[in-house]
Amino acid sequence: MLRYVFKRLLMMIPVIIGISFLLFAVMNLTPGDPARLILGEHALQSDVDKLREEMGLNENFFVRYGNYLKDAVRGNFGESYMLGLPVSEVVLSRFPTTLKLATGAMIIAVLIGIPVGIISAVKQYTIIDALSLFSSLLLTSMPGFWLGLMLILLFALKLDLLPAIGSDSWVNYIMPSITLAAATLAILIRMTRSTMLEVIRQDYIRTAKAKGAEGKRIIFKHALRNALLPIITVIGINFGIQLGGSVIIENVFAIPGIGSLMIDSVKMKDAPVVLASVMLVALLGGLVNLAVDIMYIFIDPRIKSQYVKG
Amino acid sequence: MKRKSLITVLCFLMSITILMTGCAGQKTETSAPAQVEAVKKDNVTVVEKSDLATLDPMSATDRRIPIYQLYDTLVRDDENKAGEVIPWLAESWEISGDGKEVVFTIRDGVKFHNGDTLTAEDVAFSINTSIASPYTQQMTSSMESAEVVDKNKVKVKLKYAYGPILGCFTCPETSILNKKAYEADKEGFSRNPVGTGAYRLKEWVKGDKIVLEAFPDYFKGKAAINTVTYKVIGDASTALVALEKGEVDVVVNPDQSARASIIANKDLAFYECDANAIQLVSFNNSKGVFSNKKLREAVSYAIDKEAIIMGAKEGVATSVDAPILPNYAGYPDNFKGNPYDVEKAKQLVAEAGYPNGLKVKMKTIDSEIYIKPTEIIQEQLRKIGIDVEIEIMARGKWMEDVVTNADYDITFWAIVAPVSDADFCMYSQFHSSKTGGNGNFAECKIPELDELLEQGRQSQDPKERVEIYRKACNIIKEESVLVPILLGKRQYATNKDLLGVKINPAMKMYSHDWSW
Repeated sequence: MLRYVFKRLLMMIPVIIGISFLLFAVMNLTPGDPARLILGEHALQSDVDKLREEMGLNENFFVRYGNYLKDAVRGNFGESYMLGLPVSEVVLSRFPTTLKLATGAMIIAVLIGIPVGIISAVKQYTIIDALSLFSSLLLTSMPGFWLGLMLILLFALKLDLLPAIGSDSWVNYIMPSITLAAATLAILIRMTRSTMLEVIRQDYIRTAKAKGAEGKRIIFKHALRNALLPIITVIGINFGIQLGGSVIIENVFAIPGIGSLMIDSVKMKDAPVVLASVMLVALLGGLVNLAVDIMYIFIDPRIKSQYVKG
Repeated sequence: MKRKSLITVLCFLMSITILMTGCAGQKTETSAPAQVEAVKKDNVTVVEKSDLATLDPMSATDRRIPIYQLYDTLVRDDENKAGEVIPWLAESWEISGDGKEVVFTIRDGVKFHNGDTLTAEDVAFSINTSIASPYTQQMTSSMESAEVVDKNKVKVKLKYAYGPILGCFTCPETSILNKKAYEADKEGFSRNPVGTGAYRLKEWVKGDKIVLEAFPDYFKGKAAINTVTYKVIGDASTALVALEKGEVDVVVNPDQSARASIIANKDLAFYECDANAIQLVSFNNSKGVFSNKKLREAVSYAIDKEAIIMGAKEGVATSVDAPILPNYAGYPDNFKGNPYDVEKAKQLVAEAGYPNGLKVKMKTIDSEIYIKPTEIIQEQLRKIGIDVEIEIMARGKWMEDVVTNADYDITFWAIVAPVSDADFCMYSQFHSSKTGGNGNFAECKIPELDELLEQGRQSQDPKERVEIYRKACNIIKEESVLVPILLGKRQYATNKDLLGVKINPAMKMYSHDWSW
């Protein structure tokens, strides 16, 4: 088991290196001179050239990439071109906000999505089922920025219940989390419903009913556990995506997360920040996937037995 | 069963619609309790569209509002007379007979945020730092050096006599810094600024907000409002909702489309003035199709400025003819550009050697300010047989292509002139010494114009300067170096209870003047 985890962690290293190389290449080969962007349109060309030299932009691409990797391994991701601060400081200062937002959204999606999905599976073709179908369609079709603005208009401006902007207290995270949760929630409802329906029709459920097991017990003990694998996969994938930040939602609610940091850095060609933040997001994506795989082991004895034997 | 669920779905749909239309209504009564608090407020929140990179005015290229609160300059713009200045940190000044030296007398007893008293040493150091900085060249390229004369006098030596020199000392690029603090930690200064300004830094949460607190020992007296917060809100609609709700108090340059509803809102105040930026069409005068003068001229006749203002700026902009801002020192009154005349333009295109029309690429920055007018210009040029393909690019790419390499035919952009003087609109854009990535990316090389621009910046006689710049504008018009189109607007939307707010073209915003 531990060996498996260790192997998976090792496999992440080439992925991260590959990502860093691709990004480094893209940031360098796309047009736009960071030195000119930093100094502005009124700077003298000679000053711009000097800054390019200082930033090491005139050196060979591979030499620069090599240097970058060497420093990165030692934990030095360079300095932000724009802010003049260590990149690790810049990126890590934004990350907790994104983590809070993604966690909030996931909690909402799971707490609402799975029960609603189960109910609409159990009560298939009833009003509840139709309502859940309709609302999940609605949730997926609403663009995030629109939903966000509508929530602000309703709950902040009209009802005056919640603050419109900011990230100071947990109250600030309610509306952004709901907005971010919307799409995942919809997927989760549909996913839970369809897998539950599949499982409910299985022979062992019929057997359980036949031997007189209680309805609730059948649903939660027999059906849900068996339906859980794909649901957890969906949760994992979406959580990974959300950890990458959401530019639109961060913008609408004025939350300084990692998504807006990445976009701003791309615009300003602040390569060190782009690289570090994307690598962090990729790493987290990998870790979340790993966590999902480990959860499989606990949920599904068949998978567990593979590792116990092997 | 099926039908029943359909009805339910419809009911649900209707209730959602009611809910949504309900909240689309504009004003509400619920903002009343927020206003009761507002009366006793001693803080104010200003929206910034993005975070600042630095609070060190010597290593920033953009003039950002917090900088005006943290630092003072030697002189300030005279609100009543454009182009004139009033004493600030400098009590008085004297310009030598040849115009190549300025001696400032520094006010006594001004305190820095760290408790130090302002000395001539600090002033000379700040100016020399600015002269050496590659970021601030627009303001300091005329200066040679600054030196301490005595305890409260500083002499600034210039490379050449320079008419608008005092204006250069109104801008953040020449802010006065604390020498001791700057030398002790140059890198850290951008996050721990020490100035003499009305406010000092209390807290900076990167990407989120900057909090300033009133400096009790400010030389003009402590500010009425104790705390000023600059809150980063990237989304324009959110900023306005936050303003209506009372969570923020000032929105700078709100969305153009929201202008009418802001003016109609009784809880808000709206301030507006012309911007200090001339939006214009520029050509590459030396290379490519537009090195053909007739073709440039054709474009100047083909552009209908009013149509651009209506179409791209919702009718809220001022059309301009000269490449100099109106009421700037040196502005030639009643200067007229080429009129809108499609027939003449068509004829000129034919004379230029393109009877069947031609295709050009127009590079523009990925921003609504530039894209909308570019699209209308595209349509206007189509009428005279110039088929424009718009190439929208990121700011970085545009700067590299256009500013650095002059690799373009035609573009739409803006001259921003931070000092109220014709020289700031003209010299770096049109003087041949500024070609090759130094500002003159129109690649305009006209010896006669060079001479006028040199005379204009050195002359101290206002009337003579107006005549010089009139001649210069005429040459630019004759040669159709570029086509000035319009001035945008500077706008503030504020809580109506916030008093003392003043707007100016350069958006020099001083919160010291404000009160509730």
